[in-house]
Amino acid sequence: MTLPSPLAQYICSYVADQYFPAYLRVDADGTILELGGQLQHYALQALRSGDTTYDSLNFLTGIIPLENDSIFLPLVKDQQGRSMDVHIFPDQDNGDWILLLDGNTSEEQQLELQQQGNYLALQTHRQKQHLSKLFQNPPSEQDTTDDSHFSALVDVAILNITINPSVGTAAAPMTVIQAIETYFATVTTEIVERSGVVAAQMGRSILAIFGLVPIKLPPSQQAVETGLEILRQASSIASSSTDPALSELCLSFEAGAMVTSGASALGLLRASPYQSMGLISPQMPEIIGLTGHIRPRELMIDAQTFKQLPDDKYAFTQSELSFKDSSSMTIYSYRP
Amino acid sequence: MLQKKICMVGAFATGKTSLVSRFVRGIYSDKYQTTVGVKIDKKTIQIQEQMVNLILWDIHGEDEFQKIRMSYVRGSSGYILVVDGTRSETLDKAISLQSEIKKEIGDVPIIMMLNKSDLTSEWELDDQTIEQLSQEKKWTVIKSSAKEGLGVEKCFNSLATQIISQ
Repeated sequence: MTLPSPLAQYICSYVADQYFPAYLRVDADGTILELGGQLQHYALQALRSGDTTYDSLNFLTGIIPLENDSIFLPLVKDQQGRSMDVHIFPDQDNGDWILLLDGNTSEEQQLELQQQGNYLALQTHRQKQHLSKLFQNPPSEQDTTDDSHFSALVDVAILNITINPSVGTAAAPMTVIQAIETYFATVTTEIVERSGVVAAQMGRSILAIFGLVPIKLPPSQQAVETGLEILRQASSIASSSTDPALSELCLSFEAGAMVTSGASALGLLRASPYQSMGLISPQMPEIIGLTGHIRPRELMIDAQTFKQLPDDKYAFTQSELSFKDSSSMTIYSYRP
Repeated sequence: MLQKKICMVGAFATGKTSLVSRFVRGIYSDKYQTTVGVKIDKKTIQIQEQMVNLILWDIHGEDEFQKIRMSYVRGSSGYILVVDGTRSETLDKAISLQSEIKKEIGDVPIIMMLNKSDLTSEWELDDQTIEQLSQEKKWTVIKSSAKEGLGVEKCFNSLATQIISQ
């Protein structure tokens, strides 16, 4: 590819400004034949032609001399903590070229995402371990071939966090979906850190179950505390994105929450070696059906949850929810 | 002085960085900090009257979103497969990684470290599985704890000895 001179110059100056390029050419023994560029960025300014890379670039051990193909080593962090992208390719006549480009910015960006992803994966694994411990005497293979066989009744509380994206938003649908995903990623972290298990994300709602992982508080209270905390932190959750456009969109979301409680049947769905947990909860369809009634910036709870909360801790107001079929339901609501 | 490249590979959060930190600096931190890319470290040890520089490549853990680049393992004289004893799936990951690495660099000395032996009560791997694996694969399998320092020196020294003896 041949680039017009202004473009080639622009690319050169862009790379020089952003990536601090430095280069070396070394022979098969690791002796430096020539070098240049911004070597001081990598603390290599003391190197001279004729020196060896044995100490200063010890990560080249075993790699050079190349066998005609090039190698790319992204984000190599040296003992001083500098991160660099390393490109190595053979010279036409003698030795190998080593090009160093700064990798610190790229590392910082990736680190944040990777850290959060790994943390969530570890939390999920710990939750699975806790669930397994609930079954001291797992059902036999014969028993578990019948999906209706469950081995434990547990008290759980289900938390439904629902957001209302602004109806008048001018953002593209995909951007809104991306903003919802961003918002829920942070909500999920909050739920997991408070020992909740995220059961489902459906459109603009996320459902979490409390009581499966051992906790100090009763599940209903833990779910209420988590719901309140998420509503209280709505603005900080919304501003968690590093993308200003997404963050602004998240801020326009209005979150509301609902908690229902009760006994649920928990069991093994299939036989070993592929056992998986299953939860049958009468509260689940109920709380999904109530999604449309969840009001922004408000926590609603059902009568069962209300009964299980300590007296005088929360100032919930009783009211009736009326449905189209003329039925009604007593709920308690609170605005943090 | 001899200089040999050794890679640490395995699933994420198995304790690769902690093991290197324990071996090179003698320190351990409870705080989990994921590795992006690869961290290079060096330690000089004595094997059979011979001083050897071990260049340690602490490669990021593999997960479903982040695969290990095989260019990282190029030129390794040996490598350590790190498994978290409290997560049995990390053993499957180690086995699949070994298969990929073998395709890239062939047969070189391997040691499997079963890390987090300080959390035995949470282990998902039993002694029978470990024994079976050791016999089938003919790997040296060493239980280790980066937290308590158990098995760390033994593992690196054993791998270095195998490398030098080749």
